[in-house]
Amino acid sequence: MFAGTLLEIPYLKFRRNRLGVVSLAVLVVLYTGLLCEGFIAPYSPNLKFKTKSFQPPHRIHFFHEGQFIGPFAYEYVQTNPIFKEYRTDGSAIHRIRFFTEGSAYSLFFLIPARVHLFGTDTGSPVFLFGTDSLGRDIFSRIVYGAKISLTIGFVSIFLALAGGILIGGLAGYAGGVSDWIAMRGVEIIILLPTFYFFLFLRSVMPTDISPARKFFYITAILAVPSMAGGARSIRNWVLSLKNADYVTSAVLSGVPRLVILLTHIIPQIRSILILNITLSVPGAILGEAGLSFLNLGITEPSVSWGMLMSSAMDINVLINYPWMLLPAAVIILTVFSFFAFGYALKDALDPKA
Amino acid sequence: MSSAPFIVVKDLVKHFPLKAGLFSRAAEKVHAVNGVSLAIERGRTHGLVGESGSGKTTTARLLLRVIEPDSGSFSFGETPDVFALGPPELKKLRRGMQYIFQDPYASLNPKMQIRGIVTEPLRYGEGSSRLSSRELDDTAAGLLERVGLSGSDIRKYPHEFSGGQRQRICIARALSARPSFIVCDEPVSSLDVSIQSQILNLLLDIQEETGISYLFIAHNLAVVFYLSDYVSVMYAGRIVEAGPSKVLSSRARHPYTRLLLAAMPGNRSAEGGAPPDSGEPPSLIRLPPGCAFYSRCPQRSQECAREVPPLEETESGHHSACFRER
Amino acid sequence: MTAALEVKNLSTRFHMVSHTVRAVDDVSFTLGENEILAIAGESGSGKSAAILSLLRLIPPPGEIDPESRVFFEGRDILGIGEKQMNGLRGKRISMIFQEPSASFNPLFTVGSQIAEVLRVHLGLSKAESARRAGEALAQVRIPNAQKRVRDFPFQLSGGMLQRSMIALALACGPRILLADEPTTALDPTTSLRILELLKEKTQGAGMSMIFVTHDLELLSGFADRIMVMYAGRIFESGPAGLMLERPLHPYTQDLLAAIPRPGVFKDSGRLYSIQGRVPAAGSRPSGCAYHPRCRLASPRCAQEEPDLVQKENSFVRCRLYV
Repeated sequence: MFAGTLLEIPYLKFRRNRLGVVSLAVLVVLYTGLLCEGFIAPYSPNLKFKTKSFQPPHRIHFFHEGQFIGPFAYEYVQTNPIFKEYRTDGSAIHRIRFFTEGSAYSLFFLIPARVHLFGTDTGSPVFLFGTDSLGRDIFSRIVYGAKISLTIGFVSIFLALAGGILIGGLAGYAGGVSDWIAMRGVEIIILLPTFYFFLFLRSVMPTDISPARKFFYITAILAVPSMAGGARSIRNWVLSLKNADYVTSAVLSGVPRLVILLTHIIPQIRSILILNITLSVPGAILGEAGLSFLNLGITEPSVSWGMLMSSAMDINVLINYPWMLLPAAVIILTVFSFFAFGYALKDALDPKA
Repeated sequence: MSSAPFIVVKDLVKHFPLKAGLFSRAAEKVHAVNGVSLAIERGRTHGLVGESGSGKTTTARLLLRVIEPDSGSFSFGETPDVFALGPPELKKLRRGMQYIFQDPYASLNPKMQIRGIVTEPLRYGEGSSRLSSRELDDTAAGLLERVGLSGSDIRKYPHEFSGGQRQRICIARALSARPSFIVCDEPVSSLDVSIQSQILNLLLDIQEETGISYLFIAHNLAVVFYLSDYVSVMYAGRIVEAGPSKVLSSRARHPYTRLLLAAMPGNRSAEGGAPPDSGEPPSLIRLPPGCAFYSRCPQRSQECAREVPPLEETESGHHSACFRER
Repeated sequence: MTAALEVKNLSTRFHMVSHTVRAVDDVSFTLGENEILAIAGESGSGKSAAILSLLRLIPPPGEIDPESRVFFEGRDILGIGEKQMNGLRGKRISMIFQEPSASFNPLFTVGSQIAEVLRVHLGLSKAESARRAGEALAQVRIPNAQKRVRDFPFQLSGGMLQRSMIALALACGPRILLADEPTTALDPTTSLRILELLKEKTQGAGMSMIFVTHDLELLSGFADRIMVMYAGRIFESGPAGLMLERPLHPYTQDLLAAIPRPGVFKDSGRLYSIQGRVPAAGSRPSGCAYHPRCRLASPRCAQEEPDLVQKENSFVRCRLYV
């Protein structure tokens, strides 16, 4: 009666949810930014402007002495090198220019390029979000930090998914003792407080290892709780779909178990899995942020949002240089967007809503 | 009937244990199938009718060993007892037996292309050969054309088809392994009346061409009589009457069969209303000691409450399980 | 014949992204007092959408055409407020479905759910409504009704649950009962008894019924009038006995010819079967929607759709009768 293509109704429903659409747009912008980090960030994340540490964010002006001259920033002059105090020099103007030449980077991690989204006509740096104690541009660091912060969530969730499908799928299918053991193991993991569990796993991890391996270990640690939850729900789905007529007829046709699991059962729960992924990614992002904040996760010279926040841990820093907290705002925005998008997706896919 | 029939099922029994509670020791059982015997000749159709809960579907699933029987035997062509086979032999034999389900919406994987669905028995069954993508396409297209669909539909998904077309796809799938026996479990019950006849005619055409035997299960008497050569009526897990469909439809002996006949829409108006019948089938957990139909039977006697009436031949090929109607 | 319900030019459309589905297309009919009117048609004919429209239960993107009118007790119920409509649903106009699970919450007893309807709609006290719930179950001839009120839905058999749903629908003494294939999922003997019960309730209680089904044969001896729908349109309507004996429209004839009847066996030849399928939503053929499947179609049928014309006591939409 309500024919149409399979996704037409979910699409119509999703489009009506304004918050969901906006969140999706935010996520698209964030992930696109991740791909062209070098282009968006004006400077390399570890480039130090020695004389400009803890400089507050540049204010972007449009009118100079009552006259419109396009976007520009006044020069900040350091007045107190010890307490990092700055004053505005109303005569030195740095106009913002788009598509300016700058330091070399690889666009999409492949193509060598020098053009950046914006810069100044004088070549003097502009700091949208201010600088940190070493004079590094926080905006650039946030842009580069996205690479780890935004991917770690996805990678760990996919890791969790693969494990969850394997454990949950086979437990549900095999039943009996193996099912019982797998599910009790999963329940123990679910019962443990997640963050302490991360800390525990982190403590058994070797300490001096290369950044790449560290990234992998952290990802794996973050995957464990989601994997446990995933295994349990996949097992329940397998149990309920195991007696579907098309599964019975596949069994009668001699299709092997693993093939049945992958071709007949998992595809049915694809939309639920996608939903779970969307709603678990923010958990993993926060987990990474938490670990890095405690200096247990990503460390220098790599950049991640959680690590950026760890430099804002000091109360003096918080009071005197509040822009150091801007990475937190980005984390909140990301996590909120994931949840809003996830729930909009859930409503759209739910035939009863 | 000189040689033994193609399919002979004897004394099939299946009781499902109810899960015992923590403190209740005596586990109760659901007496789903209580000694069913039937035979099917090659190229013939055996109809099985009964109300829901009578054990029709369980019987069918036992034959294909979707569920394992408690006892009984099942000879199938050259195989003396399908129930005695180990997994590898069973896998080989299963290509010869196929199952068509009642609900064409539940029996097709919604996320699989038609091509994959109809060729699945070929790709995985015993003795399957690796087919190239091209060969699969051709086979699938051929099967679809065989059941009256277009060969160009192989890349579509089940949701693009109507209920009747889906049932055709199920039939195409069943035919792919060239079986000699198909269990049709209420294949037309969930279809519109106008589509039912298309599917029934298709099943008949296929039987004429290939000599496949059917076990045809339905609760609609007119459909079963139309399609079957021989019909068994089930009630509470037992066959209460069996005979050639023409004989059974005109000279039914068992009161339950008569009740079913009187409830047929075509017969109803002629006789002016249905016979008085208030009852429901007995609980399969605690079957009565005598005839299961006792509580609803207009002709019951004391004997019926004490003992289960045996299925006895009343005339050539016509069997009935009733003390009163011999 | 006084009318219990008068439906004029009812149209219901579903607006999809790429197309609009005309589920119900300019349907007009009158339901008489104490009458059983059957709407017959295949799935996709618009028969269910038609009765859901009467209760204004069409979910978006569906929409009832603003030109449509449904007169009940002197007013157009498509034009009244949602609050007043809620007062009618379940009280003055009730509905039963194919699946009783659509009506019952599995977590509450059958009796308490009937009692709740009585409290909400009739404002009865708790004790009074509980007593009346037992009576309602007894009315649909459920054995041991006073004990059965404490049963949960899963404890009842399919037939008993169907009866309970009818009890729920009849509890407030509605003027009109809408029944959407209430017997399709039941065994033949059970289905027969449900039909008898429904017939008895309409004759006795001053109630009218619209009974939707895909099975014309079921209606013999049950319905007073039959309306055959196809692709959202009325194809034929008339007295039930007459239509089942001498159907006018080729579609009705084909439907009846496709049903296996007692005394017909496979060696007496193939059943008549209608070719093709009901047109998919949104792709209705031009002219008469049935022409691609019709054995009597002429080129004209593809071009223009005939009007519904009167033929003795019946109405039919086919060029053969124009």
